[in-house]
Amino acid sequence: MKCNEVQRQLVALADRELSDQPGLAEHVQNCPACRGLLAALQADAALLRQEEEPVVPDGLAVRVMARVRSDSSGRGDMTRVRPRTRYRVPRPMVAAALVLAAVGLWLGAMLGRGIVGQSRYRRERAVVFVCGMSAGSPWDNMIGE
Amino acid sequence: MNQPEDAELVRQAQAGDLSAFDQLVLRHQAAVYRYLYRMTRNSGDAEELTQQAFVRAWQGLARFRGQASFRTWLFRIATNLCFNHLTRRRPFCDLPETLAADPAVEPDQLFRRKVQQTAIEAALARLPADQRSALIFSVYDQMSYAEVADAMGRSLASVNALLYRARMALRRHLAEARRKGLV
Repeated sequence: MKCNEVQRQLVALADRELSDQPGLAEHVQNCPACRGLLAALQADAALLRQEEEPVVPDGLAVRVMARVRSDSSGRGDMTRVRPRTRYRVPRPMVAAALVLAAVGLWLGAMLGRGIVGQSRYRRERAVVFVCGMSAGSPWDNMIGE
Repeated sequence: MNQPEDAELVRQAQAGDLSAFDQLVLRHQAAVYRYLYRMTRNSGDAEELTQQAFVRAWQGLARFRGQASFRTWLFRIATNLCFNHLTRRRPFCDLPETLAADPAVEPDQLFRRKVQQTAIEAALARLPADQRSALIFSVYDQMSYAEVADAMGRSLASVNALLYRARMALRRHLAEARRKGLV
């Protein structure tokens, strides 16, 4: 076991979370650095526990209950769980609606592309026809001849 | 006479018995207040958050299924409220109390104790809120890592990592205070 692997376990060991980890006790016994770290971690926790307990204000429980009572008097039955929303739509219906919307959009796009393509074809034919009339068509030449 | 277990009081409170909830408040108010005081270092904020935590607990009692203990469930409510509070408000510490004139304690001893207390508070205050919370649960409330995980709504692995970082950072801060002769 290496020291950096042991360090994380030392914190848990100092917090009494690990009792019998294979190889850990041997490593700590034989490694002065890790033994020192474990002692320091335990000393830190002991120092924190020396801190004075915060003084709980007098009458706190009475004030808490007064607030709970004032809250419950305006709420009616406390045991009932309120639903998150008033009107809930079942999830399968939402999914079906989304699929239908997607299919509709796709069909719309395909249909739109077809119409545009067709109109472009018609426009091109019209341009060819008009240009042919003004510039003279091969038929004109044939007639002239 | 044996006191009823928390689970029994919770069942009665869920059935609408306010006096059962009153007993739960009496039983846990001090621990919740102390936790919130250590997190905020302000008695007014700690009391306000304690009151809010119990009101939320009462409101949400019907949803409590007893998978965790009532205590850790209550601490989870308090933790969420506290984290929201800390992100909204700038930290504000109480003015230091005047030194109590205890004839049994020498003035220099009293002064030294106050300096140490302030150094510990400062070391804790330098930790990020989640690390501080995990450390307070573990050191002061003597919770196991599994209980800390329940109280913070985190996984066990996450609490392990959180406490490792907290203890290492605390060690650096306290080492600094030791060098300055404060602790």
